[in-house]
Amino acid sequence: MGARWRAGIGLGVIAAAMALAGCSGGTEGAPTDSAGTQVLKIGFITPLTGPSASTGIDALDGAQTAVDIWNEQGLLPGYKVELVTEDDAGTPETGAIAYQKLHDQGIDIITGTMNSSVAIAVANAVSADPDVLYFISGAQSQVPLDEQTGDMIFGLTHTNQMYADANLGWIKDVAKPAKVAVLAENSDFGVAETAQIESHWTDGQPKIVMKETFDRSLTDFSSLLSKVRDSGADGLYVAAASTAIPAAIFTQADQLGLDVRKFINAGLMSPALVEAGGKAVDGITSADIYHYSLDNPDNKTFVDAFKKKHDKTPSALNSLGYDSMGLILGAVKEAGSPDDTHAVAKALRSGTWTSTRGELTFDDTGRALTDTLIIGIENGELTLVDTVKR
Amino acid sequence: MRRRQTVEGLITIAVLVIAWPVLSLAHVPYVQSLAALIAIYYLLAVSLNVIMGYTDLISFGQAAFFGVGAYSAVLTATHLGAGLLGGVLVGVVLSAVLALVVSSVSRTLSGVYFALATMAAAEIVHIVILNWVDLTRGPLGLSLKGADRVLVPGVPLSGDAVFQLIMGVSIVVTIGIFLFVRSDTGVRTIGVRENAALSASIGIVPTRQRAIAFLISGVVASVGGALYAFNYGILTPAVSSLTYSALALLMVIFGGKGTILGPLVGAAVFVVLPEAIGLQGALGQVAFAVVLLIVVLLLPRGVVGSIATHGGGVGGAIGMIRARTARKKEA
Amino acid sequence: MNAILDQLANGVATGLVYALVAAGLSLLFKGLDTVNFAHGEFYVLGGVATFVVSVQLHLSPWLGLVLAMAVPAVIAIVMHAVLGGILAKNPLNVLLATFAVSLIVSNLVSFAYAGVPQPVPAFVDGALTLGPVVLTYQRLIAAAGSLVAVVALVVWLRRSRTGRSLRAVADNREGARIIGIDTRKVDRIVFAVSGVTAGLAGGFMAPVTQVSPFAGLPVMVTAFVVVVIGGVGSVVGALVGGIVLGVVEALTVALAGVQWSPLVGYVLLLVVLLFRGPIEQLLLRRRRVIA
Repeated sequence: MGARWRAGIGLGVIAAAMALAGCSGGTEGAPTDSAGTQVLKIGFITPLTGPSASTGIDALDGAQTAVDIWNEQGLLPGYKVELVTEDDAGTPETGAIAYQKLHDQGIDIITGTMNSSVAIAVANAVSADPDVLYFISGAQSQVPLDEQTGDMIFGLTHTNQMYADANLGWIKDVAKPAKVAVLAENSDFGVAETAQIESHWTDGQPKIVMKETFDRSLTDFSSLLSKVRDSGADGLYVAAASTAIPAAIFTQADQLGLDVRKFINAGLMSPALVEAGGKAVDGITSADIYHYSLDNPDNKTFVDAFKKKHDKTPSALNSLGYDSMGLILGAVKEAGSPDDTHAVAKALRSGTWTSTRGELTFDDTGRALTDTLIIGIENGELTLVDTVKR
Repeated sequence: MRRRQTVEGLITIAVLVIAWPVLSLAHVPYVQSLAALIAIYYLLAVSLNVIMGYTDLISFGQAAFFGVGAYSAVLTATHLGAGLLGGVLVGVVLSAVLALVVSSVSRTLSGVYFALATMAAAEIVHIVILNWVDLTRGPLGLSLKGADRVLVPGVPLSGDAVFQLIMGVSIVVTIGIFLFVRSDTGVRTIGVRENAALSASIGIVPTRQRAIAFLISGVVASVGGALYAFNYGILTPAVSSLTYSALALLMVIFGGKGTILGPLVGAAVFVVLPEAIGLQGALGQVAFAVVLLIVVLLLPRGVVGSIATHGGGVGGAIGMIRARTARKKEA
Repeated sequence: MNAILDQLANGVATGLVYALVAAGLSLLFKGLDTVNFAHGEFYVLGGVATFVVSVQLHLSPWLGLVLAMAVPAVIAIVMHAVLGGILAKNPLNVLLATFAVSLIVSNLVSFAYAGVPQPVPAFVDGALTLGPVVLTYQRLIAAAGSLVAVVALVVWLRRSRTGRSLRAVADNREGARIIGIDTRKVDRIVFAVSGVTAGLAGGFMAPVTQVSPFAGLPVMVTAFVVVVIGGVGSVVGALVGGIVLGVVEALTVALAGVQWSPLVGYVLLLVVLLFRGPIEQLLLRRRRVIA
């Protein structure tokens, strides 16, 4: 009898501990500090763990750079900006919970998401709260924007379609390889890319001589590269979501003495790719939305500040985080205050903005429109090869 | 042991029955979202517990049922407009078939070999879901359109309604398991686990008990998957990956296999602890795994199992330390 | 036909490395009746060691191989010391504990490198061309090295005193204890050997595949498949099983496409598990324990 009573008490203690843990984190709306400025909290939901962790960390670094600049220079009078970060671990359920945690704290402006499945889950949760402004930084899916009933959801990066039009169009019209072998990762990026390739290169120019989808966990590409060699391709197109895989593929291709022109899907050209691939990634071309050499005032500020803090030039992922904050805060400034999120959303949607990528406007669905760049790698440096106008 | 199970079972049911209205009325969305995930994970853990607790086998296959349930739910809702009810039905039928196939094909296996066979079977299901792009859209995943998010055609489900359903289903399942354990069939199944030879001598057939356990397991996991799909509105092949099977395993072992409260404790800890620890990123996972390791080394019967044997609180802890040092001396 | 020959060569090369990783796991399985979820992490750590030595310390990568064997061995011994107690009591908790260890190791590695896989330069650049077959020197080194290691392991098990003790314990634990063999010490050695072999394999393959923090679990699963195919406790079986798996996977890639190659391992596993009995009787294989 005694054991069971003790069991009950023990369990009660555990339950209480759970409840306490679950109820943690209930801060109020907008505390004012001694100088009379209010704190503007912006929620940043991003992958800090899991396979896309590096994309989340990069976006966060960029976003923090922007927040630091806005605070140091007092660009939003009367407000100090604070990023409240939550890890979505790259899974929909963690993202949905992260959103509720932020929203329960009174945070009405959310940004950061880098994975499409997480973006959809968060957007679904957001749909129950019409006053929340959700600014999707890096996830490419158009679904949350198309499905929304209000005008409060935005997407900053190019969609897969926009990238494909630019990249695949450029390869077809300008680079003109004769026969291309396509290696795609079995992820949403890879599969979507394969579909795009099939719809863009329909007339045999270039000719798709090989098309294979490999599991994301594959690290040894020898069999695949043998097949590429046998196919007689003069171009190799790799579609993946991270820089590690193209780096590995091209490194192994070089080791095998494979002589092909190298293409990858958009969004991967970054110092990380150069570092991971070394000599093997020289000569790759791809499309992207950003290059550190872009000559506009926003980018100059960004590159200087980022270099000072991180001792390296920023990548497109960093710029997505930076521009997310820059645009949101710019819209808050335009609307006069952050309290009416609908006014902020309206200001965003109707404005013509400057960003690190140059001039930026939003289309009817809330998708950002900028030029697309064709980037190459020469001697370990990312070079700007061409521009495809929006 | 019967009385312990009764008390345990009643405590579990009581916790869920009290939590449901409390959470619904308090209306703190963050806590509610945590509770929803705990309940879904609980269903996953319960499904494994039916096999592990009552037949002493380890299965890595729960994610296969979970995934089948989730994908069936979304596909029937999207293509047939049949809503959650229709989706659950289809998922349950498919999972039941899968469960019977697996349990009969593996009837000659046991122990580690059985575990590996379930891992292989589950991974095959996962790979099929991943590559059958025409049906499942592969890695692009499936999203549930707002219009298809209905219980049956014409009865739309709000986010809150789905939450109510999740809580309700959890209670029903718990009561079901509770009754099963105490029923004749349940006693027979446990009897097989305790002593196969003896059970055989009085006419209980292990293969049949195994099949029953698998059937229940598959159905429960399948329902959990369907609820997951409707709760988050988005599905990727990851839901049928080993990650979720491993998660089920961890929850059951942590909570204590063969107990009724164990899976709930396991699920709660696995959802809340990462949040409570507060460390983000890779270090957070490390901290979590360290806590896990400490629990495993000190609480070999799982949390609930240890409490049931030694009692909770300080007295229990002392009792347990005494018992462990005594055993060490024997060895 | 040329393509197939090339794939076959690839398959054998890959299979030999699989064999090395599986050999240690097979011994562990048989000797301690335990499932080590962290086995794949030994492989990852072997790669990390090679990376640290060759890229960060700018020393010879061959030196890295030494570290690749030593570090996992040490961790394996620590694991045995800590987990040895619960081993006898509750094998299920060994599963959980080793899974926790694998989470700890993979996340620490991920944290150390900010989640980004690290490239390691090849020991020897370039590739060997023999007709239609092209194999990079690194993979040749990995394959040859793995074969040598496996053979050395077999010889050690048959000839050395420790090796024979190991086999005795695996065959009949109680009997071995009765004749005075220190079973705990033997267990510790088996654990260490599993760390050494997996670490060496990881060190060999790091320049081929980059050091990826979360590669451990897939590697461990592959090793399990090989162990079952080859027979638990048999190093020679691991060798045969590894080559078989490697070749079948490569042929699947050649004929069906690479997305189906993961399926192959699992199907093979199921076939072996389900038909092992009859096949064994068919081949009249002696049920010896090791090698």
